[in-house]
Amino acid sequence: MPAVDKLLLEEALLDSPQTRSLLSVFEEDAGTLTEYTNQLLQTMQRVYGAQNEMCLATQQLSSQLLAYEKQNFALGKGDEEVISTLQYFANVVNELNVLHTELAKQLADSMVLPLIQFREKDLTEVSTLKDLFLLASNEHDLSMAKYSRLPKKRENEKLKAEIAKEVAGARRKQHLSSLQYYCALNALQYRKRTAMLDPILGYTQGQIAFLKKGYDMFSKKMDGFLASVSGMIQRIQGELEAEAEAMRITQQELLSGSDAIYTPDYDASSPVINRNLIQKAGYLNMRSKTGLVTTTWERLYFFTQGGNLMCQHRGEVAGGLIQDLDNCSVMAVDCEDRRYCFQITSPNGKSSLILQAEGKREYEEWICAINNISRQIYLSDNPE
Amino acid sequence: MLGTDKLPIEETLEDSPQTRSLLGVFEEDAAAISSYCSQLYHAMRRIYDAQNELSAATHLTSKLLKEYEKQRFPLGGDDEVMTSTLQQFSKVIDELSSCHAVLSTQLADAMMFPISQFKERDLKEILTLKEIFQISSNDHDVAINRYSRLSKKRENEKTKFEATEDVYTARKKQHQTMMHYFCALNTIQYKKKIAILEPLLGYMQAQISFFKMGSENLNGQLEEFMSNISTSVQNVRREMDNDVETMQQTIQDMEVASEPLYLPDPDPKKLPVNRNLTRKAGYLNIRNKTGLVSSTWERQYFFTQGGNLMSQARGDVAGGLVMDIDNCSVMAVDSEDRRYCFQITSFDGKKSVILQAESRKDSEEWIATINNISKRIYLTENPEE
Repeated sequence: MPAVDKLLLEEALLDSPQTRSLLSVFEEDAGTLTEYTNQLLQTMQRVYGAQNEMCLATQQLSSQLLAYEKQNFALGKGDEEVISTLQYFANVVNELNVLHTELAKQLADSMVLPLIQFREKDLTEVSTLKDLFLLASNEHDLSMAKYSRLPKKRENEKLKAEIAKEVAGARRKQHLSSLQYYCALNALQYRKRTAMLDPILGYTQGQIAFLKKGYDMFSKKMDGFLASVSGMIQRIQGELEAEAEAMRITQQELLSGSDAIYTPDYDASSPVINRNLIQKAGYLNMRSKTGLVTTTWERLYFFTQGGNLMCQHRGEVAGGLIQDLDNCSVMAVDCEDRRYCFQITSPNGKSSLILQAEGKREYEEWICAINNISRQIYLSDNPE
Repeated sequence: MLGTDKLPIEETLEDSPQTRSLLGVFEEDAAAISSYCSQLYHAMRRIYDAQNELSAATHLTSKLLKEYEKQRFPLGGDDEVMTSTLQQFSKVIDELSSCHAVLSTQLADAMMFPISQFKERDLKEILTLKEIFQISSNDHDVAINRYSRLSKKRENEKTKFEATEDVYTARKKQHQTMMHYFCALNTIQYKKKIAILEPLLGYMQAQISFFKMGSENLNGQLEEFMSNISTSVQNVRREMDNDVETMQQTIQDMEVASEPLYLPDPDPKKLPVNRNLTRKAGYLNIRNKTGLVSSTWERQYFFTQGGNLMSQARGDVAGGLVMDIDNCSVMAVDSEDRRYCFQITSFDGKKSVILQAESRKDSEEWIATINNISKRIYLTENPEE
């Protein structure tokens, strides 16, 4: 590299305007350097910050993948395979995180730190020395002005000597501080190169090492794993498509059936009634007394279970016993002008239940089924 | 894989509490998937954002390095080695930056796209279907309630027909939406696996190709360049250390040597007056008339240049002519009770300046020098400096 420009130390004592003018060129250079350094530092800190954020992000992803296992999924069929795959992924992300962390550390040590040191130590030193020099220069000007005004008369020798001494002191101070200042500015011309190149060198070396390690890490073992994951995804995709097709067909079949299924009591005029049922399930309205004369009707799901009639609200997980049907009596009743009502009465006649079916067929089938159960047909050998 | 859990589509028409209960389990699972996926999405988004920021910051670094030569450094502007080194670095960082940019794009396509699709499309669809199903279920409840209250009397066939028709419509709607809803929930059980694995696969593949591309682009060519730079930086540092040491030594020497020079009025016996000078430079006070009786003194740097006396204030870039001193006269004068004053008068007597030196020696030397110049001694062949 070419030699650097220099301020001549020998010129410091004379302190001529020419020297000052050269000095100001060096000062301007230092100013530009400071500005550029600040920009570079800002950018490098941004790179470092992003790298750090990448460390944290990979760490978060890795722990998020491990957390899958601990999620309380209500359904978990086939999750083992997903869990073990995710664990493998989590390990890889973790290794990636190690690489990112190493890189971040290297960037901190060999990119950001040298530049910060350059700014905080070298550039700050230059500006401190500048302040000191200006202070000394002003002091010298002042004492020199005082000295120049000393009278010619022989009187007051002591004052003259004192002021001459003051000038000597100020001049000495200015000389020394300017020497140090020149020296620092000269050194800065070298540092200008090292301070720029050092961090970039550190950055590039860190990146190269990072890329190399990453390449090594992935080239070893990942291919087989990724191929199997990709195969797994394809297989699930295939299963999904098959299942979607199957569901579509089922839906179509269900929808293409008779519209009559949606109409309540569609066969009221000529219902086909199965009178041999010994079990039945479906929605019925149940009458509840709420006062002496007031009642409410509630739609509930009823089903028989052995000799019992159970009922279940929509939100309930299991049904509850509502009536033992053994030996009970069941019959059609009129109730509040509603259609298809029937009543179940317990053997001792103490409790009874009024229910309403949706249509004629339902209504008759319920009555038959309960009757059959009541007579314990369901215990016989050959129930339908 | 062991297959997945399924909601039975065949049970949708009967819509028993058992089916509802199973539906509740699937809904709970969907909510857990949704919450997990949203966390996963955030974790991936964070990586994606960090990667984007890395790309941007790397790009900016390379740009800033390119701008080094455009900085108006007053010194070392001809430092081509430095400029070309930085340019080469910026090329390297450019390549790195383009690798980062490719990685960013790949992450966007292969990681962010599938997971956000799942989050924004599939999971949102489930929520929408759930709402629609709730509404149609409520509608059906209302219709069946009205139907149940129909009178036994034969009259009012029209109301009966309407109420039955209502139940028909509501039941059909509920059946259809419930089938849709069940299908979507069954599908989610497959999609949840894909939705988690696919973006991860994309992430890995993008990383692998990043490392591959990066190490191919950067490794080979750089080793030599880097070690050159490294050596060169060390050299500069060594040079600097040497130079600084030399300077500090010089400073120490000067400190000792200059000690007697600090006193403005040194003992004339120790520093004899040199009367043979034909050029001289140094600070003098010059008297300026500011009014009839008032005057100011100003400290300026004076120097001779051939037959001219020049002066320069501290902030000036160059000196200006004070007067032509060929054939001028110079002599010590009294002025305002100041010491070491002397006056220079031009040959035609029209112009004169009064100057004050720092010491007797300085004053005598200035007078002798100007005299020498005035007599054109400086033109002789062998002037003493």
